[in-house]
Amino acid sequence: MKRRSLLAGLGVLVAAAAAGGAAWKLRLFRKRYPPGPYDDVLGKLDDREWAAKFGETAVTALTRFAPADAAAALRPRLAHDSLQKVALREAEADRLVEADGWLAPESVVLIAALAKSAD
Amino acid sequence: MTAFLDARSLPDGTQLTPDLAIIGGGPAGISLALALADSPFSIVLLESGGLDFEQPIQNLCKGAETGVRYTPLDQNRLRMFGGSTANHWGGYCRPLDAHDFETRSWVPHSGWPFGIEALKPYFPRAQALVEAGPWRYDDTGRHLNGAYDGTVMKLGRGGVYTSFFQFSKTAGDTPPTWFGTRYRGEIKAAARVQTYLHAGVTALRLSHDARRIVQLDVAAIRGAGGAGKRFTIRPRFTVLACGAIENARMLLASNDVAKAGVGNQNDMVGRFFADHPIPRDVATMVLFGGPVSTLYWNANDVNKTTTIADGSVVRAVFSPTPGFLREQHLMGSLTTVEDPVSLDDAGTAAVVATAQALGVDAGSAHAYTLGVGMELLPDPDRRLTLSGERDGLGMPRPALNVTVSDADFLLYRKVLREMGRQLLASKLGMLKLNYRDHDGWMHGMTKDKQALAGWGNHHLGTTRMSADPKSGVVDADSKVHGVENLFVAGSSVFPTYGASNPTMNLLALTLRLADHLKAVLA
Repeated sequence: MKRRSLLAGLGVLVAAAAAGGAAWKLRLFRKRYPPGPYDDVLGKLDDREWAAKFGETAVTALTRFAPADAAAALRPRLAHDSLQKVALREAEADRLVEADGWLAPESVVLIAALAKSAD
Repeated sequence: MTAFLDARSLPDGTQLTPDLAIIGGGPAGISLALALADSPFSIVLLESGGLDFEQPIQNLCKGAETGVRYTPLDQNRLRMFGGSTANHWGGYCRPLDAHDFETRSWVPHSGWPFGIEALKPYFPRAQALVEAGPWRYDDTGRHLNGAYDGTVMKLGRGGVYTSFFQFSKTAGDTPPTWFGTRYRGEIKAAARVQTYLHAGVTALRLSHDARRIVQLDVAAIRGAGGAGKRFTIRPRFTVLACGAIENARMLLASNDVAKAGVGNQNDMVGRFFADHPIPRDVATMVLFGGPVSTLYWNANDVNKTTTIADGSVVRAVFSPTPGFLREQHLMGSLTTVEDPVSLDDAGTAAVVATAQALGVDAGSAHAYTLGVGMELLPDPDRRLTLSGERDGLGMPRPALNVTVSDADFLLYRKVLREMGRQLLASKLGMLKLNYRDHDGWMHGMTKDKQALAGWGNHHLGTTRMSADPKSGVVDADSKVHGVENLFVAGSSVFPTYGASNPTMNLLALTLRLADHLKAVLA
């Protein structure tokens, strides 16, 4: 293989990787969700896919989980604060839930379970 | 210099009359003899083993066990000069905490007859005996400097903090300090200390009024583990220093005058035995930002220790704060970082989703299993008695009942939960608590099939200390209640146990006893 061809191939690879990274940053490849009744709550998530994956575990920790109830519980908490602030405040206040042993802020567990139910 | 004498070489019927007889040539017995070596009193140090391991003599330790799975009694102590420091000790050192001595309303039968202040003057000498270097422990963080780049985890405000073990070490050699070799020369050089090897005490003989020990019956132990020539010792004072199993066994078996055994007028001898359960994989700790500091886990050392700039060998652990312990009515525990672990898909999702919710990047997250050494609640039914079988010397073999209650595990679980809360609140990471019920915890103690796994093999209790004879075997001076000239050295006198490993603490207590003996022998 000629040196010129090799360099050209590498250039294409680098360009593709850069484009992929940019697309990821711009969330072009992330899963698209149809509109739903809990979008106002789920919109607080940075990454709904990971939340939904955790939701598979989270939902097992919540007795009689009902999406509407979870959303109703979360809305006032998230009305004026980011999920980050709420999660931190709950950790400080020991408002935690064990999901298959994983200890997480209650709102994180709730929103993860909600994300899973809306997946 | 007095060479060690082999008891087998004594003529049958020999009678010795020292000021003090110390039964047991382990770390307590050796330290006591060394502490009294410069005194004007004649001392006989009796060791049932030899200078090296001998299996037939080790077999004298065999006994029956009931209750939860526990280490076989002939495998967790060594009958040889130097005792179990020979190769059964990991060298872990940490002083007991002040609250370990207190009477705690939520801990039945708790409380020492004195506070930690009574032991503090003896800690420096105990630390020197175990060769653990400068006294650092919870002050270790202040002694980290440019020569070491590890950091103490900033857990933030809460009920769990970073505490430290220090480690016994023999300079330039393999740790920890092996008392039988390290102090053999000093014991030999002590003009007033005569050591007898293969000398098995078979009875403590009480006076008719049961108020004094008037004689020790001793058998020279033959190579096959049986009794050879017999001789007697009539000391002014006697110290039992042969561990929590053998101390209680000796008292119970010496029952010709006092039918329940020496010092057992209140049925307390043998009760309240304890050890530290060390279940593994109790939790998975994930640190969002990268690997744990080598202060907590050093892959390059068998004990996961790190040597800091001043030469101290340390290992960071997680302990409940005294305030949290009192507020939540907990027992002591020392949680250790054990091994790196991979997360499954569900675990990865839990970590990524939680980190994102906290606004933290978990791209460099590392996960570790946690282990623990935990203090048990005192239990009178965790108890040593005598079985119907006899050993080669004709002594009744011990029978040990070991219990662990659900409360023991549940109290510790609160510590893990608090640690998990602090990791989240400080945005450092998170925890997965691995065990919920008794079976789970017991699985954690038995998942390693090795006989020694699951327990710290720290024999505690059985001759507990109490100012009140009705609730203890020895008084605040380690003297057996009701017997004027019999004392007990070692961790068998601990009435409550703490989570710290006992060796350095029992040595401090032994040095305190030495000071008392100097006064009473004079």
